[in-house]
Amino acid sequence: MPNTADLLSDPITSGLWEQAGLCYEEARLPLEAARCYRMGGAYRRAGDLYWSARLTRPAAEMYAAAGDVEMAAWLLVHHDGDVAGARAYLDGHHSVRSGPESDSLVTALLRQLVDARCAVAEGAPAESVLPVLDTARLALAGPPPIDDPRLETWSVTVAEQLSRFDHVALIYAAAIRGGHKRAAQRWSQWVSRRFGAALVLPELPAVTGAQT
Amino acid sequence: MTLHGPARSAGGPIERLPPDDPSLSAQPAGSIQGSTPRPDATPRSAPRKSQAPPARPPVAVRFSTAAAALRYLGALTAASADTDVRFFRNATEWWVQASAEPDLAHSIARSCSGGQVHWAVDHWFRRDRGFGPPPAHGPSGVDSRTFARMELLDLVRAGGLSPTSGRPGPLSEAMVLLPGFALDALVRRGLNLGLDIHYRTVRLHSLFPTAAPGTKTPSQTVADPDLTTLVEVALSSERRPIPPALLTAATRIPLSVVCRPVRDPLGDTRLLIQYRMTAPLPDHQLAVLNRAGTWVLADAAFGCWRLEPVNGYQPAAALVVPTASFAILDQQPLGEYADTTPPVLRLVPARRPGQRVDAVLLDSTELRTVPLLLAGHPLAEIAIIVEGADHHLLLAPGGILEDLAIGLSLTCIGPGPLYIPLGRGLSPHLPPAARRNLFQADSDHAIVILDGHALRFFLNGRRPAWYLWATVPPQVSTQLPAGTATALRALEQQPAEVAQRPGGEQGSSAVPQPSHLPEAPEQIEQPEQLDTWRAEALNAELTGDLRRAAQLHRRHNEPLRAARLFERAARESDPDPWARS
Repeated sequence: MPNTADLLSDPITSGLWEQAGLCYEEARLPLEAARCYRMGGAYRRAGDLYWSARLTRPAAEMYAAAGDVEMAAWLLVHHDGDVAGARAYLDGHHSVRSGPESDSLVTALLRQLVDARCAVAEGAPAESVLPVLDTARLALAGPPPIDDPRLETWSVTVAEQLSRFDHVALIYAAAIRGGHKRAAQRWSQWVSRRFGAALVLPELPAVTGAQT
Repeated sequence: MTLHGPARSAGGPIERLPPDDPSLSAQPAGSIQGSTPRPDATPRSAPRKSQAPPARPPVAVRFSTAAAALRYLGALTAASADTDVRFFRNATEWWVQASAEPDLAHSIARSCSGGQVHWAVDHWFRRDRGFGPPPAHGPSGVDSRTFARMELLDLVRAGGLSPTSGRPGPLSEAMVLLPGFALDALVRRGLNLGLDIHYRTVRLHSLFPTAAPGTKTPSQTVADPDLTTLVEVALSSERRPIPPALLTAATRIPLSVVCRPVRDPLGDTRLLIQYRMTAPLPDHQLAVLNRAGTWVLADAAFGCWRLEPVNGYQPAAALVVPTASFAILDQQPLGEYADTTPPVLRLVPARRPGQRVDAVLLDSTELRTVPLLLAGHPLAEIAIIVEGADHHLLLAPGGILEDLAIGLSLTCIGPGPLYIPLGRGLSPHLPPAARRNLFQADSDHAIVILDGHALRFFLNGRRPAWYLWATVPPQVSTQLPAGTATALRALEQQPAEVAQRPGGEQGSSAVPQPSHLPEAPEQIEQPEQLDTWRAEALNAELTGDLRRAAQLHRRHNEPLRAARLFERAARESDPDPWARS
């Protein structure tokens, strides 16, 4: 498990690894490219490539090495079903985290969502999980705009796992109120995917910005 | 602002007096003179008077404190270059007489705690009303002959030093005058902090000739040399300021003073003024007023002195010597140990993720199967064969990168064309410098390491792989239409007809062959080079410039080979190859 603390201090070598990774990507060998990015210390890109090849565990390792433990934990719990591994990531056993990142509001909310997903996977009752969705909803609708799309996506997923589609609607409505781009479009796509029906939204009252 | 007549305006430029004669600049110092006669009667001021704008007597300003007088002097000397400045003292008043523009004098005097401007006509000081022409000659006003004539030094002394308000600024240079017994502690602390330290012995002489009334000065009349011989330590630091804690600690050394040096424009130290003290004049102006030697200005605890160096600066680092018991032991090599045997280089199985087939080692029977394998394969375009005695090497720029079914697959570990079988490693592990030294694989020699021995191939004789099966071209007969052949033959025959007699024989063969068409080769003798960029890339790769070879491949749309070359380059330049593999 690579330690983020000893990233390559030699920029020439890491640059060469990155070039090799780019060339492998051009040659359409994403796994080789991911291996080169990993050797060069570009963990997030390696994680993206592993995830695009649907290799959950290596992707989670790479995201955790890049410092994004929430993503790593979500991959494990939602796509792999490994609750224990996800909780191990959340508890900070596997990577070094820098201070300012962990204090951000979005990171804390994402952490709570992953925790909620783990609880749902373990069969916890809905009442214990819904407060987290309420908090996420407040953050989505709130004045400071949140540009991390995972907040909305993961909240919807957790609500879906609980089979509480009313909360799905509340979350999407909060996203629309908060001014997230194309939230209504995503909502209607979700409805058509889940129920095969069309979504009808009331006229939005004097909202500025691109709302579709 | 006061009103002025039409001859002068408030916003006009400040007139500068023309420079005085150099003979006038040498003023006698240290002597008290009586009141001078009229200014235009003395010969030394007559030329100045003739150069100055006509009919303007000097201006004398009255101050109530010497500090204010000093401030006025400082501001005035910054504004105009007048060398005939006189000071007078009358009980509690201080007078400064200098030639200046009246409005300039007014504005400066007002800013220095309320000075009053007077005209100095002959030896009478007449109050300036602020407007109108200068007053005419005549006895009225204050008689300056009743004043005591002072020198600049007296003014400085009466002006005194006052503690700096606020935090003192950072110093990058400081001088400490201290007795000799305190030197080693300061030097040790300063060297620990990384300062540059030099020291020398100095002798101090009293600065003011007589003791001022009412002040407490150290006994200046004692002629004991020990009391007035001190060590001057120069602390300097280039990049960072001197830590103020060190300076504060140095102030607590008995019989010492910490000063900041002030230099004149030529670079000589003119003034050492105490660390947290300031005079009414700014440092640089005070330094300019001192024409020779160095002054030390400090508070009453240390006193004010004139500095005389006894010897030159010596670096204080020379004071640091190891003790007598600090032995330096020689470490002579004891000679070669006869019973060490270096380990034998072996090939061991080693897991190497990411290694690919860069070359293939063939023997003679396998060489005969290469045409069967490569004919029709994309590798035939770029593969290169290097023939040897009983082994042959199949290369490609950027590596073969495919698992051919024949031969021994090799991977290049570098530096240069140095190959080992795929899935193997060297034991003991050799760093790149050792590999370069032992095997010397360069652009002319390729080395293949096998277990227990190695093979060297000469790359000068490399040829394209298709040479193995495509050397003899078929018989080529040129197919020309009959009309074109006839026309060409006619063109050829015309100059021949002019030279020959009519009726010369012609070669009339069934298939005319005009002479200027190219001959089909019977045998390709010199194998052609690869495409130019591939040859260049191969040369770069064999020389060891993998990055350039990789960029060439990438630019020509061969990403896989470029990736392989970049990876090889990264592996070779990686300082810690086992950390993350």
